[in-house]
Amino acid sequence: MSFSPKRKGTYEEILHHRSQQSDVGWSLRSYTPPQYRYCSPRRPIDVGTAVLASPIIRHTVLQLSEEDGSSVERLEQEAEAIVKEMGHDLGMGAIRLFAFVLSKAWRRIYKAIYVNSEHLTKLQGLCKDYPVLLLPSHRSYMDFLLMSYVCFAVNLPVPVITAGADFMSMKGVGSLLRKSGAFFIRRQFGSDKLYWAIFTEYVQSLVRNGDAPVEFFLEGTRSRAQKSMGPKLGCLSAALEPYFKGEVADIYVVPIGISYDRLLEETLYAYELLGVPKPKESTSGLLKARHVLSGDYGNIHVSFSAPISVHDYFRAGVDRSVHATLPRYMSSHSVEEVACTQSLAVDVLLQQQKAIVLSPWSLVAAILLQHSQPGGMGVAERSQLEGVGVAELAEEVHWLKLQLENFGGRINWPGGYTTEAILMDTLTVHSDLVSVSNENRVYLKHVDDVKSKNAALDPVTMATAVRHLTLALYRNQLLHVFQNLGLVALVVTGSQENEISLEDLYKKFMFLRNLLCKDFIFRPCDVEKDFNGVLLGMKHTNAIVQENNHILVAPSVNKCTVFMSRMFEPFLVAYWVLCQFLLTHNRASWKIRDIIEGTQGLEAAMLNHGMLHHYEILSLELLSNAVNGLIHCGAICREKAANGNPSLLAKPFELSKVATEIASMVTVPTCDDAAAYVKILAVPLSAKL
Amino acid sequence: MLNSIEKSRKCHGKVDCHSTSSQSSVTGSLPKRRQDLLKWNGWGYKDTEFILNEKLQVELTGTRYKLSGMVLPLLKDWMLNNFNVNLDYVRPAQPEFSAADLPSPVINKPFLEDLQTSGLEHSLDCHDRLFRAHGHTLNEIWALREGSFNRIPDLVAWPTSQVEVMQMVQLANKHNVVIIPFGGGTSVTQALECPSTETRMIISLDTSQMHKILWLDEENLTACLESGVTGKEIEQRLASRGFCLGHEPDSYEFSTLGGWVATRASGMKKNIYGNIEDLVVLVRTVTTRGLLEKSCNAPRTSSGPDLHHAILGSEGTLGVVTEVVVKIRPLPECQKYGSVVFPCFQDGVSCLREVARQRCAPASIRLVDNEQFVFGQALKPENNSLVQSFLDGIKKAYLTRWKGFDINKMCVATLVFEGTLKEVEAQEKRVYETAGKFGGLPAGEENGERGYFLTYLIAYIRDMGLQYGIIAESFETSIPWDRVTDLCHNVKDRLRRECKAMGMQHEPFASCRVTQLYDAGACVYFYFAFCIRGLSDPVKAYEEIESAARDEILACGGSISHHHGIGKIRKKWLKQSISGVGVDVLQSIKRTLDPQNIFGNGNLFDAAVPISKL
Repeated sequence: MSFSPKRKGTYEEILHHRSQQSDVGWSLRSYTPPQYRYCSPRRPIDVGTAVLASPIIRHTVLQLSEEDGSSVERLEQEAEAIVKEMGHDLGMGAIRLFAFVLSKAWRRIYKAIYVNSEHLTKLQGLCKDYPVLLLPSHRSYMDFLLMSYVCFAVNLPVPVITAGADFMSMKGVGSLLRKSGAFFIRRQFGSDKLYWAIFTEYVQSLVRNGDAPVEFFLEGTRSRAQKSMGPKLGCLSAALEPYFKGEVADIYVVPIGISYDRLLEETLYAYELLGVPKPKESTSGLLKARHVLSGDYGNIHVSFSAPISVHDYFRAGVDRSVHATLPRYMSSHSVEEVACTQSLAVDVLLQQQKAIVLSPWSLVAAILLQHSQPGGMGVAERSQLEGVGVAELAEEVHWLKLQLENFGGRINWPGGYTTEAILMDTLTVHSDLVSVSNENRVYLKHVDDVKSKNAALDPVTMATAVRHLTLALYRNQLLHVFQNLGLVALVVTGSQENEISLEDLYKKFMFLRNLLCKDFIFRPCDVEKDFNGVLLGMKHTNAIVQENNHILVAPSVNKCTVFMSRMFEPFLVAYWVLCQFLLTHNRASWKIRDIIEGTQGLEAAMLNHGMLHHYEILSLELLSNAVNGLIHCGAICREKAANGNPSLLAKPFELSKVATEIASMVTVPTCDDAAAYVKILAVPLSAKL
Repeated sequence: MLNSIEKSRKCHGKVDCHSTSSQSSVTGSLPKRRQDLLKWNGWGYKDTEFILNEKLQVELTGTRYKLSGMVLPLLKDWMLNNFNVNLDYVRPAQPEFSAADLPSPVINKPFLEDLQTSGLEHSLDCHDRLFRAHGHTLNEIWALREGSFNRIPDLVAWPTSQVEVMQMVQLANKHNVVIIPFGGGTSVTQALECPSTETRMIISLDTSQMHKILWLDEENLTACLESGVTGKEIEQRLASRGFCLGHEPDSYEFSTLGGWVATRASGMKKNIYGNIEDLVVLVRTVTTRGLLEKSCNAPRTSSGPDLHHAILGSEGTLGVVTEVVVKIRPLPECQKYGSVVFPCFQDGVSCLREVARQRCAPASIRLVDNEQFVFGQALKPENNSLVQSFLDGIKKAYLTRWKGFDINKMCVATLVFEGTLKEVEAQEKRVYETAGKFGGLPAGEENGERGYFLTYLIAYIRDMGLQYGIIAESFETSIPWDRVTDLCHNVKDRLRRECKAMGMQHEPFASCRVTQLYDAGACVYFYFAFCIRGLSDPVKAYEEIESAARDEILACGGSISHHHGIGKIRKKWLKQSISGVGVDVLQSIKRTLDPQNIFGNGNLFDAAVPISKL
């Protein structure tokens, strides 16, 4: 049976189905992508030269030299070194080599690479008229190789890619990546004015001349948790400046959603989320990862969204003529430009999410994870011990798939097959995580004990957490579809009343949106629209019952709302524990790391005592988001310590308000457990302090 | 080399686009009944128009221009290729209006009686009134060809001297009658349009009968001219005494000195002679409060803000410019055209920038983009000699094959050199050398000369276009050097985009040229044309597109206008351009000089004065 046909709707398969069958022939084929009409062709090295000669760099060098008295020559040498470190070396040789090698390698592990063709023709045309920014979601190392590969395959110009400088140090790989179009940006360069100037000019030089599409990841880094992270604006602002300054007529921004049926990094991510140190990117590390080059990794979907014209997007909100009285090299964004850039960034992320084609495995993961027994083990545990029947699972999967489609999710669901067949296929792909017994029962596989550097976390707890988190990664991929639904469900299922007024529901909905704003991507200005939209959808699917201006609670607590609220419950639980941690520790100021690690310890203790059962709350990313969400809600305050270092101030009144509000929606340890608390709290704290 | 200069040496007054033969028949001054000489519903002389002859080739009629009587065999195909037009689809202009088709005059009886007593020459004739109801903005020409007018002047007056203008203004002020000064009528900003809300009687004050040279001072190289004299007339008369003014805007056959002052005009040869503000030594303006003038002909004064600058660019809102003392120059010994081709527009701009940096610009230097270069080629007249076309073939092959020029990217700079033989020779050498650094190759005099013809003929070509459903217009701006290329690219892109957004099937003709060089920037001039088939309201579509293009210009750092002015079509951007305080300053000048809003043409901004009742 073939789940991976040549063409599915607007998607076309590019790895196995090609008119030219030989990889050599294909990688050496004539490749004539469209080119920007005002591009003056230049070699990669000329970009660096142009950057160094640009007014902004000359000016910055002079300014810095005046400021701190360092010699112009030294600064120029520094600039030259930075440009050298940064520079890409895109050449067709490397692209063709990659095209050949990756074809060989990927053919062994992937069933298919699907690319949607609906916007490609338009995009090819746009590449001639305007500079283009490719903005893919970022959930795997593979993303940028894949993007270049796809561009080559579909006759789009191969992009120049902003990459983190950590790849650079990998011997051989660094230069190979450069040759395939990567240029390297240090992760942190805070106040280094020269570096900042060179970085922005480098990006802008590429945009202005339209040498190639510029690709970067809005989220800044890979989303290990597999859900979109808040946008980092540095690169986008830099790339849009040529538009604001009238140096180009328009820029087209292309959100791209990339999804993998199975991640190469799945366990690595789980470890990283738990704080097991990430191995520094090294060539030998990559070679060790070679064992992944066998096995079945299912499909990849690369979904191009409709290109967004920056000009049309900003038309109403931005007056570009404000830049008319300053020399062009002087970098400045107006308040409106900053706000619009932020808003565009959020929209791009939302478009990426919309474009992403989910794997059926996400459904399976969601189900395995969160059907917890009241007070007892979840299916995750159950399925390790006694397993879940395939038929039972298939039924659940089918139900969740319907919900997903009703609320706008896209899923890879080949037509003409039974749910069970599709389920079995996806279980096979994930045979590292699950096994299917002869009796047709699905079991979760055992994970070896894991040592953490946080002494509060014992190896068994960690092992369970790894198992949970690995599943959570895949479940997280579909959360965006239900994010508004989930929040409404949390309020409804948590209610003690017979009915909730829409007004109250909206207030609580707003509260949750604010609180969870770092874990999920919301457009702040759309809160009312989203609320009304999701209510309409829920009424339509009978997930809630509304009478006049009230939601009737009893009929609204049903399979859908219970499932959804439980899916989002772990987030709130983690936030709640974090509140409790801060409330029980009276400190004048906090470092964010101490809060996170302390909370993680407290969570571990509570998990060990059976007071909590969501092991995924141990995720450091989740806790970091929680801190930032609480900052956003005003329950934690950012301060500057006397020594100038940033520090955090807990605000007990607001924290307890948040905690109470959370406790009104989800099950958390009650007051009866207070005694246990103190006992438990002693554990991490003595370890910590 | 010297030989070739000798050959091309031309006496001033015989150069430019006019053939010498016809000039004797035209005195240069405009008659009171202009419609006898000029088209009532289009550009220029009645006897001159582009037509499709019986061989379906474009031909220029008449005898006035160098191309007159010639066939332009390539132009028709250029039109067909660029606009997707069909020669069967014609939009003929409507027949001439009769009195019944025009709004009947608003008459202020006491004023009219006083006017008749005063003996000032005037007319209530409907065609006299109609001729002064418009300039040459697209929508005005459209109204003449296919539409109608809500409001036209109620009376036309022809004062013959400053004294008569003063009388006129006094009468108007006394009876609260509106005066709209009218010079050459070549405005392209709707500046001459009567405000449709105006209920008072409107007088069009035609300055054409004030066309005398009052005096000429050879020692100081100045001359005092009446404001109604046209550019062509000035040059002819000064030339006969061995001088020239050197102010040649594209409209200079018809536009007048007073109009130049009122709009801050710019001339093609400003590199040598300066723009109007540089040429003016003294301006006399009749306002409702009396005569505004300076006390001496000194070359420069420090006496508070220069009041000339309140009048320059006032667009008829403050008074009537009556007499102007201008600087004049001895006629140049030699004038010569030239041209340079560049591989691409950016190279051309870089070259012009370098020329400006070195301040070695000849009298005129203009860079046209590839679209206009191609258009210019389409204006080549029938080649009578095979040798000529053979040479053209060689030139093209040389450029494209040997020099690697892309015919779809190359562009041309056209040049006018003026001065003594030696000066011209030196200028040529320097300019061609500089051009060489940017990949430019000299491309001969003929290409240069043709570039300048285009300027004078473009408005005639527009009239032919309208006949076949092609709308065309031009607009301009000025901008710092570093933004010139981006501006050109962005505005052209915006034009194409807006047309697409309006559902036009065919790309418009969007083209530009850099026409003036300054130390700090340049003037850029756009031509824009599209086929209107299928559009329900083509003029509105055009206006929306031009408005979007102006937004783009401002966004790119360009100005609201370099020399066309504000008129009525650009009022909405004035505050953004000169700040609210700036508008207040202009308002207070207006209030002081014209409290009753007698000069109520409504240009620049809406005058914040109470509109009194009739």
